[in-house]
Amino acid sequence: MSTEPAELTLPPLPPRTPSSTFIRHKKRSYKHTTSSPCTSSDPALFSSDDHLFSGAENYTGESRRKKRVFLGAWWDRSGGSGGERGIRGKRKLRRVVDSGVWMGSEGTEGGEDEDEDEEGVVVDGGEKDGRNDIVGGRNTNDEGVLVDSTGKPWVAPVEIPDGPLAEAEKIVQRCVEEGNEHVNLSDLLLPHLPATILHPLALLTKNPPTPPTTYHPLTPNLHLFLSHNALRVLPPPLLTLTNLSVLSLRNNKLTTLPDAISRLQNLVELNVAGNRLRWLPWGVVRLVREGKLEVLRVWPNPFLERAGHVGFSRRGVAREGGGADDEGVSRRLHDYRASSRRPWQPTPLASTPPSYLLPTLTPHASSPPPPSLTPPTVTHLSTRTAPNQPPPPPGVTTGPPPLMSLALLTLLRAYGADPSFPTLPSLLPSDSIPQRLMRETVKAGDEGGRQCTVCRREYVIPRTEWIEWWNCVPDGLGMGVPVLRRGCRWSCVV
Amino acid sequence: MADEAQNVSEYVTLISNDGYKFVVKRSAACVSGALRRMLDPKSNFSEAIENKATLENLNGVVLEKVCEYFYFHEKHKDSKDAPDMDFPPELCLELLMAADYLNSKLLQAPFKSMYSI
Repeated sequence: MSTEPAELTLPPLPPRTPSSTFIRHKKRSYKHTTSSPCTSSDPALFSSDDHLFSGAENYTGESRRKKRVFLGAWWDRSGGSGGERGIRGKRKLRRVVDSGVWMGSEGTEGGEDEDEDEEGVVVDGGEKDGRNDIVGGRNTNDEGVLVDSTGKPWVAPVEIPDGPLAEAEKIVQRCVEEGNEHVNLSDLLLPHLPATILHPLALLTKNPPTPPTTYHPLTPNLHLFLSHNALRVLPPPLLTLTNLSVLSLRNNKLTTLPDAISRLQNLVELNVAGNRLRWLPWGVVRLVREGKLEVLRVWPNPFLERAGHVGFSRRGVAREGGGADDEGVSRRLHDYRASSRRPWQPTPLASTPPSYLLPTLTPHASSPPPPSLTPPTVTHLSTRTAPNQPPPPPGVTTGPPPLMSLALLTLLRAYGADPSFPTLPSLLPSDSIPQRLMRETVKAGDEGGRQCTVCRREYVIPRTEWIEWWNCVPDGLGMGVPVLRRGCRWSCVV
Repeated sequence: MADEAQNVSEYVTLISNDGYKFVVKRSAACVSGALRRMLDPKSNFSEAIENKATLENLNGVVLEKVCEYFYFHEKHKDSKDAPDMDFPPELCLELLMAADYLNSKLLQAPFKSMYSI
């Protein structure tokens, strides 16, 4: 009598599905009542009258026996009954039933939770006639064992988690489900981050405010923390997450950042400290100048320095920990802020002479080697002293891009997203110029495309390259950071 | 002397390996270093004498696009802001190889910097 008002208060629960679930449990226990009485004593199990075996005699017989046996805790009884039956999977199954996890959850088939059994083999206790429900093509044989279509015992497919990647996937999924904008994938030692993990973040929406009195955009300001991982390159799918507002790549193994990072137009804070960067891409300066980037953490990194210039050495950073130094820094910071009357803008400090490259990616004989091809042992580059850049070598400065460059650019645009695109170089004759250029094109695709830093046209094969030192770090005390600039043709120099 | 002058015609014929003939302006075709050397009137190559070059590595479809590029290059030779030319993507790998072939001889030549196609 007392259950009826309780049911009335929960109108959306369909009464039939849970009851049918309970019937199965009840039935299973009914078969084994003589030795293993540990089914739930919930009266709801036996209240259904729509089943063959829920007659009055069964109900009384079972419930009486159960009441007598089941008063003790079920785990106290496990030793004796378990040894007698010799089926340990049975006991686990009972525990699941008793825990109430499956109670009232409509839509769960009776057989589904049995699939979770660790041993993979589920002994079904029900009579065959009463248990002829087939779940997913499986069936029960005469002994009540779940078998697949070939007659072998059915084993639940167990997905073996793949270490940190599985962990990352779990975190991302939880954040997407909860509408949590702060995605923390730190300290996972991720070597790379595949698109399958990052793409759900593009679907993340904020939870609407409660109460929904005013209209709020549900577009999230994503905060993605990837610090203390083992990333060597920025994961390319990251560049599609235009909702990112905070991105931390602190303490990874990045050697370069792609220029296409400028696509993250909503980025407010970027942390690339503690990597192996020798320069920043031009896209970072663009983010500071034209985007919303306000906090940029770049030190320490093994940045290229100007030859003969006393710069901001890494040892200097380490020393600046004492109180007196802190005071000095803050005073300089204050002076610096006070001196800038108009809004702070990044300013160029110095530049190396541009290197002119042939369409085959080799430097022209009369120009310095491109900075990106210098070995990592090079820590200082000489800057140019003349105010104007050295003129390009005699040759082609005008005219359309070479046929090769155009063909590569078209290939990248058309097939860059194709998963088989990285295999294209292997189709070309080995050690040939086309193969080398095709590899560069694949690299450009991994960087999310390239845009000329002067004329902003898309390109694949850089024709000019040089390093500029920019005062581009807000509150960076005017320190210069090397920035790699590339042009798409020889006339693209500044 | 007169013979040589007679041979320097304004147009040259490019023949693909499947027999298609393309008559293009000499100045346009000479964008390619290989063709420039083949058709150089000072050389005694049979191509220069006949003003006709057979390109065994290129089929008609690709050669047509290459000739198109020759004229595109000719048109925008002096502009600093030339647009990009569009190609059908499925031809691009072959065009890449064609461009390499048409410039290959130039790489051994003293004017390395003229690698332009």
